Amino acid sequence: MQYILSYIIAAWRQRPEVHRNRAVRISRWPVACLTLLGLVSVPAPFTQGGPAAGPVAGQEILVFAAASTGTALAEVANAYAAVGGGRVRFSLAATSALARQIESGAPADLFLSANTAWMDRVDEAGLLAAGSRTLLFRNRLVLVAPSDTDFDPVAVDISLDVEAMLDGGRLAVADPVSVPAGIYARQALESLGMWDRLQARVAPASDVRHATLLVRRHEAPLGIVYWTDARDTAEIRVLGAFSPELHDPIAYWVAQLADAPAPAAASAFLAFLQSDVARTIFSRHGFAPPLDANTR
Amino acid sequence: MPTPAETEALLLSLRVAVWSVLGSLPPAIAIAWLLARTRFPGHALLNGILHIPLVVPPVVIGYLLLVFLGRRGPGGVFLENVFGITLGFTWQGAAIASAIVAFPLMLRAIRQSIEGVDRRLEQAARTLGASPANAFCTVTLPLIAPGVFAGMVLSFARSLGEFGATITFVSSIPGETRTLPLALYAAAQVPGGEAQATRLVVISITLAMIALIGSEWLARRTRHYSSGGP
Repeated sequence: MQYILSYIIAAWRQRPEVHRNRAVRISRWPVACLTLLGLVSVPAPFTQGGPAAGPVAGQEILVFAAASTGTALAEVANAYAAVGGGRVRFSLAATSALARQIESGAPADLFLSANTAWMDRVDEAGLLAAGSRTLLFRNRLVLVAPSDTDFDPVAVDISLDVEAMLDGGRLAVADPVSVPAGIYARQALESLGMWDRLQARVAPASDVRHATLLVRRHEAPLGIVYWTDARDTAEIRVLGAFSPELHDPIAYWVAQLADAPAPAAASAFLAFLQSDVARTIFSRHGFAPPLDANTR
Repeated sequence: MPTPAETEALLLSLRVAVWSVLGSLPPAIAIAWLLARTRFPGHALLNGILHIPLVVPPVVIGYLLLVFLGRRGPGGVFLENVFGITLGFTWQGAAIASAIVAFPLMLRAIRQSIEGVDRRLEQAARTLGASPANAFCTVTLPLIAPGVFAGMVLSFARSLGEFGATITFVSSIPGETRTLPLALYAAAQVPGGEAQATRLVVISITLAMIALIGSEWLARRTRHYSSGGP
C-alpha cells in the first residue's frame, strides 16, 4: 500500500501539462522512500544457521520470554555467561504474542510462558521438545500506585472500593482478555465481585510492563501488575497484594521447543534456569519457588 | 454483517482518521507554504523535526506523546490546567497520535505541489490587484489541490493503519481507543481468536479498497477540474 501510495503522490506532483503529455518523471522522493523501505526490509542475517552441530558454549540461543521476567532473566544470562555459558538473546513480549509467533514457526529455542493455558496450547500443538516442560516459579498480583501519591496501603478484599480510589481515572491492567497478567487480574476482580463495575474503567495495556509504564507516568492512578514488576520499579509502590486463591495459579513454565535451532545449547540453558544460581536470582526479584506459592 | 464490537471499532477508526486528517490539514498547508516559499534560520531543523515521525518507530512517538502530553508531561499539564483537557485514554489522544505519525506524509505532498506552482501566475494575480491572501486562495490553492488531496489520502491511510503510537499512548480501550488495527491485534492474541481476527481483516481490507477506489475517482475529478477541462 505504501508503495502504491507513494507512486500516486509521484503522479499527482507533476503539473497538469506534464500529465497530459504522459511524460512521467520519476521524482526523487518515492525513489528515496522505496530505497529506504528496501533497506529496512532486508532481513537481518540470521545469527545461527540450521541445526546445532558445534560446541554448546559457542552457540547463541533465542529465548521467547514473558515480559515480566525480563529483568531477572537478563541477570541470569549474565551469570550464565560468567560460568562459561553461551550467549543468550531474549525476545520479551506478552506470553500470548510469543505463543502466537511460536505457533507460526518463530525460530526460538526456549519458551518461558507466564501462563499455563498458553503453554498447554503450544504443548498440544506438538511444538515442545518431549519432557522439557518445567514449572519454573510462581508470581503474585498486586495493586500499585505511583510512588508519590498518598494512598494508604489497603487490604485487597470485597470491602475495597477501587472505583472511589480511581476517582475518574483508569485502572492500568494488561489486556484482560488475552494477556496472562490481565486474565489473572480479571479473575481476581471477578472473584471479588468487582469486575462488572470496573470493566469500563480498565485501560488494557499491551503487556504487563506497559501497564507498569502507564502507572509510572501517572497516566493511570492505579494498576494491577505482578509483584515482581512492582518490586523492580522504583516509581511505583504496592498498596496491597491479591490473595492467590482469587485467580488461577500464576505459573511460569519453561520448555524447549521441538524445532529449536540450537537444541544442545538450549538444553544447557534450560538446566541453568533450574540451577541454584538462577533460583537465587529469581527469588531476589520476587519470583517464588514453584512449591511455595504463598511466600513473597 | 459486522457485530456491534466490530462496527464500534470501524466507526472509531473512521472518526480518528477523519479528525486526524482534518486537524492536520491547516497546519500542513501553512507549514508547507513556509518551507516551500521562505528561507529562515532553522529551516532545515524545522523540516527535520517534522519528519521525525516518518523515520522513528511509531512506538517511540507513542512514548514521547506519553511523556509530553500525558498527565504528568509539560504539555499534558498545560492542557489540563488551561483547557481542562486530558488526552490519555481518549479517542482524541488516538487522533493526535495518528495525526503526528501521518503529518510528514501530508506535509511532503503539499510542499512539493507548492514548489511546482509557477510563481509568475501569483505575481500576475498580484499585479491585477489581488491581495497576497486573495492570490493564494484563488490561484495557488486551486493549483495545488491535487497535491493537497494526495496528502490527505496518504495521511488518512496512514491514520487508519496506526498501531504502535496509539497503543502506547492511549492503550486499547474498547469503544474509546481500540481502532481496527488494535482490535485485530487483540483478537489475534486470544486462543481461538482466529475467526474474529479474520473478520476484522476482511473489514479492514474492504475499508481500504473503498477508500482507495473513492480517492482514485475523486482524484480524477480534481485533476480534470484543475487542468481546466470542460
